Amino acid sequence: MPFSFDLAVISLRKKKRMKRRSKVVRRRHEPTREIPFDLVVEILTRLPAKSLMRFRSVSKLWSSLICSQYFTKRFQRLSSSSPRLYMNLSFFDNSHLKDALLSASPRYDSGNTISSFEADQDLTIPAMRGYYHVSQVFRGLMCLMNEKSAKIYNTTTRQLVVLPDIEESSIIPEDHKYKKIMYHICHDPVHDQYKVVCTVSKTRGEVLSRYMSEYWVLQLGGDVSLRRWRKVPCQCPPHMTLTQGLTINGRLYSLAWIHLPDSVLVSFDVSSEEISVHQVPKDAEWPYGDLIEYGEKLAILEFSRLQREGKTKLWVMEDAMKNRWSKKPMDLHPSQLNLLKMHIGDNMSLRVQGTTRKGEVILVPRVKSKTDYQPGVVMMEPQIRAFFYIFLYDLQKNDMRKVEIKETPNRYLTYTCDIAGFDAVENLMYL
Amino acid sequence: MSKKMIVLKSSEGVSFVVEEAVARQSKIISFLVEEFPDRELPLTNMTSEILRKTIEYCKKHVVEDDGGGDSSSSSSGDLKEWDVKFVAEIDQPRLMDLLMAANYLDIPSLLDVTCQKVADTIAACNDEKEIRATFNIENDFTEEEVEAIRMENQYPI
Repeated sequence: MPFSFDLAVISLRKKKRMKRRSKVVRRRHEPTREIPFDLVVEILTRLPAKSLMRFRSVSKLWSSLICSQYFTKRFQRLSSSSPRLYMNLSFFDNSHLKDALLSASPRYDSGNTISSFEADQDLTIPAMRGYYHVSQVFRGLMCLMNEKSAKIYNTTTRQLVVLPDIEESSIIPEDHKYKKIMYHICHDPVHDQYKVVCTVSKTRGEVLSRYMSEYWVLQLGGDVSLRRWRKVPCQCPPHMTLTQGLTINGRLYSLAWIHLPDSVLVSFDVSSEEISVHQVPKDAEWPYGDLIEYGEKLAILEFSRLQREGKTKLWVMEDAMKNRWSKKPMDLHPSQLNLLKMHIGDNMSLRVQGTTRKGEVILVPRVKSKTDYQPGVVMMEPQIRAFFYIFLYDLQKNDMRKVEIKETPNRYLTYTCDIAGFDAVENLMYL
Repeated sequence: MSKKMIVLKSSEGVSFVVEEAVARQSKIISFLVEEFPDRELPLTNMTSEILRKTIEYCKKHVVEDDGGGDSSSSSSGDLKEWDVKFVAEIDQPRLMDLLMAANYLDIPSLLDVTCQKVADTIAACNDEKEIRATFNIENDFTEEEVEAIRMENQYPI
């Protein structure tokens, strides 16, 4: 008997995909032949996020698919978008101070290193209005903060949500000189969820060495009406959070003070929400350092002597359980130190704002805090305050380069250029 | 050693004699030739034209096993270029047929290039109307609903 059964039977048995058919594509030359649902998913996953947002209006199926959690998670896993530098500009427009949220794409030279950035995308939406500070950009999501509230912005879908106030906090409503509120967006890899962690700390009265601290968590996505802040019970000693959080392997790390002048490393498990405190190396000079990711490990980059002497120290956490750190001192090449000195004067300093995909540390120039921008205070001489360049420091090669940021609008009227970070994720998540 | 051959039969009954190694890029065919001794497989929902195209793709992508490990007949850069040209020459309805064939026969790399080509075609469309016309998709939205989505995209709050 010749072999004669329909292959589709096996195909159907092997994969259940044929069951979920839908009316998507019909061809004219044949009566209704449909494309299986999972092929529609396959095709749409390969589209750029911008097209997906535009083409939601093709059909109800496309719209509900593109907005579904299933699709957004799959899209994030499979899509590969190029990294961008995010920045927040404020400039004078008809003598009014205006803000613009921009992103710039890197240009590469022949050696595949970044030679410049070109601001080619304006992400500002009317609902942002007013002064805000971008504390972080994490997997396509941004946290915009001003004194009173925090908003989460999806840079891909351009959705902006205002986070509710943390009403039950005993620290936030209090008017206090030494109070610090920080928001960190992080991802829980166990449950595949995004969370916003708010760390609130203050000194006890005017005593600078005794603190009070609270941890609050809000889960993003899901039912908006059920969205509220939860207080995380904290067993560890009260502390003052000093640095913006850095998430590595499902843990949010930040540096904090427990007793002056020694700092500690606070680790927050995004999934279990457990907080633990680790000692930082005893001879690490603080507070002139910041957390970075170095070869998928957590590291502290100490750069207080970089500007003047070209010296940095890198502490890499080799074993969190045993609290084992390795130390790598580095000396910048004299010609590169000169370049740095040429651009970073005595009234200026550098701060770390993340790393590139190749692991280069992003160093952002800023004017020292005395003349720092304060909300509500309008300064003259706008042109001397905005810096349209950053330094990329390749720690593996001990090589530093100055990289220009080009094509920003209203350049000569720009008052501040605040670099928010480097990010390569297009996230379709509905907030 | 002579190469093993199998016969693939299109919906029109046309027989295509292909090397087994070529045909086995399809996971379904690979499974069938292992499970059943028959050397003739009827592919009743594939036209001769699409089957010919599919075989052309598989011939180009076959990894020849000549005893010295894997050695592809072309370099990966050349292959990519060839793939781009291959799908560029196919018109829209046939591209959809080929995509379905790749899915049906379970040929992951062909599915990948055809899906990408369809995605590129969609991305190149000016608006949703052009997409609907190109892919013959029924518009099940009202004017108001389309307008609401458009507004949401511009001013998401």
